[in-house]
Amino acid sequence: MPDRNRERWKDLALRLQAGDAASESELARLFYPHLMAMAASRLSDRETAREIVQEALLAVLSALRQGRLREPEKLPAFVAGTGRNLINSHVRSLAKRPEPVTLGLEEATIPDPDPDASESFLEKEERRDVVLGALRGLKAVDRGILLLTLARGLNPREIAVEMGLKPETIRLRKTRALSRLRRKLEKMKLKGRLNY
Amino acid sequence: MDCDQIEREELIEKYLTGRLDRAEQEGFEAHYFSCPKCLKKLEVSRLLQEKLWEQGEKILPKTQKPHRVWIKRRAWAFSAAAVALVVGGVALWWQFMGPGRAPAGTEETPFSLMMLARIEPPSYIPPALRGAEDEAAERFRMGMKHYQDGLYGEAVPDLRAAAELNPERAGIRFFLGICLLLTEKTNEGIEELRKTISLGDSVYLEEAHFYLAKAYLGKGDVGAAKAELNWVQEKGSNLKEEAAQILAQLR
Repeated sequence: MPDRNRERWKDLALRLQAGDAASESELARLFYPHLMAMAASRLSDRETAREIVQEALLAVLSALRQGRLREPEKLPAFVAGTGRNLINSHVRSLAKRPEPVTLGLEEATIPDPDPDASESFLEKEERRDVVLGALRGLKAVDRGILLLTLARGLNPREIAVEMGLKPETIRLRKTRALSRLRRKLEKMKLKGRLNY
Repeated sequence: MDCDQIEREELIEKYLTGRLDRAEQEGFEAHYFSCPKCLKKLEVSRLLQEKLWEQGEKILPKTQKPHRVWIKRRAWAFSAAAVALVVGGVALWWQFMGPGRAPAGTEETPFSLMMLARIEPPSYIPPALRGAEDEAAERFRMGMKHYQDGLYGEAVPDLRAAAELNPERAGIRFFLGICLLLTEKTNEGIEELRKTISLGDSVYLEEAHFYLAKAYLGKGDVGAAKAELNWVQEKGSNLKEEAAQILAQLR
């Protein structure tokens, strides 16, 4: 982590520890995407992922309030660790959820910065169409490579065997296809047609 | 862990498909919690993964819908079955494409056709006894050593030299054509296989027609591929059945 950020994290952690309500939103805004990426990558559905992210943010807040973060400049690592522990607990035992964290406030809430949280059915459909449209804009062979990579979990060497191409070719095509899609989807996001 | 390493070692894809060990996973998480660039890449890749899970069969008609699971290291073991389903779906897929609607070389080759076009390198057993060699035979032998090691690109210069020295030897032309196809020089490979065929009857004639058909499929020229496969079905022996199966899938 660059040094300039250490001060920033330390400052935020200390403000949270002091009970600054505005800092709670900042914490959520800053780390929700990371936690959501982690949870959604490792769990099967976004709804569960969202719940766990909420729990993780509350757990971080609680720990900060209780002064359990000894090195406040390492806030991101602490948030990551908290999220990871909750996800692992969930995976280990789907039936046993971690106990809700008590903040010492009657109605403690964390603002939900996830734009999908209030996404309507139509918006979800539109988002899917945008992503599908972007995928369909690729050549069939590149779509195939992405399908085998991301949905089936094959590596370039394994895909090369399946498709009769060289692994370097697969790697190159995959990198180019992903870059193209990232650029395209980023543009869509900027235009407000896509949230992620 | 840095951004270059993540790109180079394809850690985002491995993370999303559960192919990192615990230490690598935690290392990557620690990185993207402090790196907006890698977080963005992860978010987009995850979004794509979700859509590919949900829509896989729409993106590649008649493929198996992938299971919505946390894919483990052994996921590759299921790939053969998945690919078999892809290939099995070619017939219906082709109905939508229409044989006359995709002129050769003018449109991209569908993924499913590429699967049919896959080339397994034909085996080569060097002669047990060698007599006096001319230069062409020597270069051929050198090239085929690379071929047997799976180094098809490295085999090409020797085989090309051998073909120039002895243009009438079908075996040289044939294996040169195969090596060119395997190194994605499809047009040159096709040319060499045509030359093999034009040399007339040889032990490589049937195989040359068969692999030529594969090369045409790779280019999306189904009409030309069918013509070659029909030849194998009518006049061939060893590859008859395989040719019939591909023809059936193309129909």
